[in-house]
Amino acid sequence: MKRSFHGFRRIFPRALFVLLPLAFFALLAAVYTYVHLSPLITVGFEGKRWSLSSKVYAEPASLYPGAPLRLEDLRESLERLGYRPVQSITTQGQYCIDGPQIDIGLRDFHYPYRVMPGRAVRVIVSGQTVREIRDLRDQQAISTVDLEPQLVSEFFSPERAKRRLVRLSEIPPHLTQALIAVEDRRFYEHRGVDWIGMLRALYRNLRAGKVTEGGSTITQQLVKNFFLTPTRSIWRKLAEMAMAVLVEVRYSKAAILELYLNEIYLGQRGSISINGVGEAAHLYFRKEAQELTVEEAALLVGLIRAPHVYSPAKHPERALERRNRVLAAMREAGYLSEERFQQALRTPLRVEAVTLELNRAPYFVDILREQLLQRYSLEDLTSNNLTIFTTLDVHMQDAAQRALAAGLARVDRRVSASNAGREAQGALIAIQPQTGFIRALVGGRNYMASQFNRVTQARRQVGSVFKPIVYAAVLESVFTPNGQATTALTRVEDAPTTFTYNGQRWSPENYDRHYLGWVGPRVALEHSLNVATVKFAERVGFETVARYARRMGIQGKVEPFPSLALGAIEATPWEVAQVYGVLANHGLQAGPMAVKEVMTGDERVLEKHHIDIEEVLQPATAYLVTNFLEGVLERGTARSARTAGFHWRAAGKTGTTDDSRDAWFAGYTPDLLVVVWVGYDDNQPLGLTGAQAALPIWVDFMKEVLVGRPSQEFLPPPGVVQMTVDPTSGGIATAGCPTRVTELFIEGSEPRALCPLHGMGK
Amino acid sequence: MTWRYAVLSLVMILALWGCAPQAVQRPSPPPSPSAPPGGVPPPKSAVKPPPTPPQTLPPRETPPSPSMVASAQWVDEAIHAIEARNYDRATALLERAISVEPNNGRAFYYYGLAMGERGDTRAALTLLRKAEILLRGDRQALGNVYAQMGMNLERLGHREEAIQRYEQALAQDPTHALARRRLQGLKS
Repeated sequence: MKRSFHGFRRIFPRALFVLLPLAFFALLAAVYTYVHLSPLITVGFEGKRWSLSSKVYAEPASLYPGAPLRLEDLRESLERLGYRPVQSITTQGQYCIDGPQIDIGLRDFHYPYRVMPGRAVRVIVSGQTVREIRDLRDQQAISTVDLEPQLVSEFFSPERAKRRLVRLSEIPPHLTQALIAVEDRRFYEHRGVDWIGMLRALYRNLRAGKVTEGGSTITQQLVKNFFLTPTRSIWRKLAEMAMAVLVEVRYSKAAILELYLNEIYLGQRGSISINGVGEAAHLYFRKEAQELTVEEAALLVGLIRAPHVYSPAKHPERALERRNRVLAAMREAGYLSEERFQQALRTPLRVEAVTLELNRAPYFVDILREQLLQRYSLEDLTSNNLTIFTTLDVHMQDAAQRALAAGLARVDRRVSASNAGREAQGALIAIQPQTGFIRALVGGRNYMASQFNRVTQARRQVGSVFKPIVYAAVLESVFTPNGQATTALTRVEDAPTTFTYNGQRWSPENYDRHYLGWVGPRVALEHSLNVATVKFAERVGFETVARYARRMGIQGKVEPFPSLALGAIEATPWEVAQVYGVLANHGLQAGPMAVKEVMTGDERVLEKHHIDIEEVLQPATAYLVTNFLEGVLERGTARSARTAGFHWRAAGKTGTTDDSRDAWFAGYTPDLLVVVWVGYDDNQPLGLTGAQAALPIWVDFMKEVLVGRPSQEFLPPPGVVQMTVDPTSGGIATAGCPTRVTELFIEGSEPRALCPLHGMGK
Repeated sequence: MTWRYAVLSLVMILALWGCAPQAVQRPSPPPSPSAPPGGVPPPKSAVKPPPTPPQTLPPRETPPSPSMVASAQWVDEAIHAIEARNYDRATALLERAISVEPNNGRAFYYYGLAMGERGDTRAALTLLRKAEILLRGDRQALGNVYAQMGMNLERLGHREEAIQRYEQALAQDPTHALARRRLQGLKS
């Protein structure tokens, strides 16, 4: 004893000599680690700003009694919104179809300045119309209800991660239990590093002769994902362990779990990575995280190890095997009873095929992105979880894409002999004229092949779609004091004519070289008569026509030459839509609008756009031109629309440029304006007219989006009068007039005198 | 030229006999089937109606469409928001109302009102102009539209135009208290 004591006395100072410096350096290293890593962890955890993509939403679809609706379309909308079909709805996010009725568990949705509370409703459809909507709680009839808006696209950061954040309180306990059972069974016992677990893993790996098990705790995995690179080195492992300990010192287990469950990578859809259980629950099961069953939770947790290997879509057997292994681990850890475990094992693997909407309206989204980047940084736009509410109507957008694709394929077939393998291009824009809301926009036949947006960027000759501008300028001359007023009764001679302007001679021809003699503006516009139109333009002056063109929306160069009257200028379909928007909206121009509001993740409205209207024409002028343009579809160059089955009231104008290089149709009903352009990008002749190439696309689109809607009249504004006149004399028709027509006039420009030819008949 | 007078005289004599021939080729198109509502029916050759005076086109009188009924619900909600002076919410609801039924004059009226209250008087005036067109024939509603136009013109300092609008409001609705009060204020 004495000897050993002496031994101890002899060894202790020596050991102290070694241990003290070691302890000192260890302390130094600990202090250094703490000082160095602590701020990093603080910033990483407390200042953690998830890179959350910004979401672009379309306008919500409204359901109301009398609304046109096909049950199949509603089902498709609900599927796209991630609603699940069930036998009987029990919660939000479900639907159930039973014959002509559909029960929907509508979800809550937060719009700027208002919340749409979720509720269970029954929609009864009769034919292609909503017959009735009832609240399933109290059976009260509902006059209108909105579906949630559909996702159009997302703006992703370079990481291209898709994630929806969930709080731990929203995660069902069996999900965290499954995670702990499989990934870190001593999670609640260790302090960041599980030495026992590490030794066990080491032992098992040595026995297996390969790495079969990692000894990393959930905290270590989180630290690795947050702060470290995936490279395998002893230094990285040491740093990971040190940081995991520090994280556990500073944060609760609950906080660590919540971060982990939102961070973890759970699969890939195309170029987009699926991160966090919130997004994964939605993508694999169309559910909110809190709705996940034990089996579904086990499947998700099973994916953590290798989402590609255990992908339930690609490798269902492997996924099932892995899920069952997780379930077994849960039973082993005491989280599942034997009975529940057996029951879970018998549950077949079921995942939903949720399509990730990457971009449903790519050309529209490009415009949006360009506009938003003028006000937000790229980082804000892609990583800050903004919600962008737009004016797009997804149903119309889909219809527009279909109509344009089918129409261009038809054009290609028709001109296959002369097109030398080229593909015709096209563009379509649909606008609600009263608001300027862009409802659909397609800038080309294939976005992947060409991102050139022909709606906004292709400046093409407009041809005869320009003519309504001439007639607007001409008819509005009645408001000009001492002007040479033109009314519907004014006649010009449609015959071969040579015009002289600035010493130059010009002899335009009608399209088919057919001339109608003395004609009024109605006939001249309906039949797109070139010579008569130039003569009408001459009456007000080409400068005036040019001024109206600019005022109504043409932004490019507009020279006041006689050929201007025939549309010898270039403009984009976007500009043409603005021009026709004025005519469709009683002379008021509603600025085209794509973005309505931008909202942050915490529901702060960053911007709100209002309908922006400007007075451009007298309402009576716009109405008269519209009335003339109705005749284009009834009797004029677009009458083939009627034979193609388009039966709604509409106004419109065809346009064909020199050598048929551009084919246009711009037309509108009282609520919807659509402009279609077709041509080749290299400006080679297409060989088809506007009525042959563009009008069928317009008709296809309109027929699809107007189905179930009644035909509406154009509302006459104040200041329009109608009168029965003798068309020969232009006087008020008398009883003696053999021919009497009812014509419209801008108030004050109507004839004042009785027909001088048949006046005695009164 | 005398032969022209001769032909004309002949035609007039035949017309007096009530058997005028369809001698003059009609250069304009046949009556449009898309003639506006209230249009005069096509002439009947047997009966010669007397000359018709010019008729201002009547406003459309049809039962409210389903979309108008749905839109009205949004307008009603917006009115509550206006009463609560929550103009952001009101305009958001009214935009929804207009989007569902873009010919809802009432929605444009309240939209104009809300924009005016927000201080965007120029926008308010154009929206009210649209409401004026859509609410044609509804004298009480037009009284409100003109009164609001007057208010916004006053805000812009356009006294004379404001007076005109208040007078228009009273012409539509002689009991319009706001228009009367503002008019008295401006004239005193």
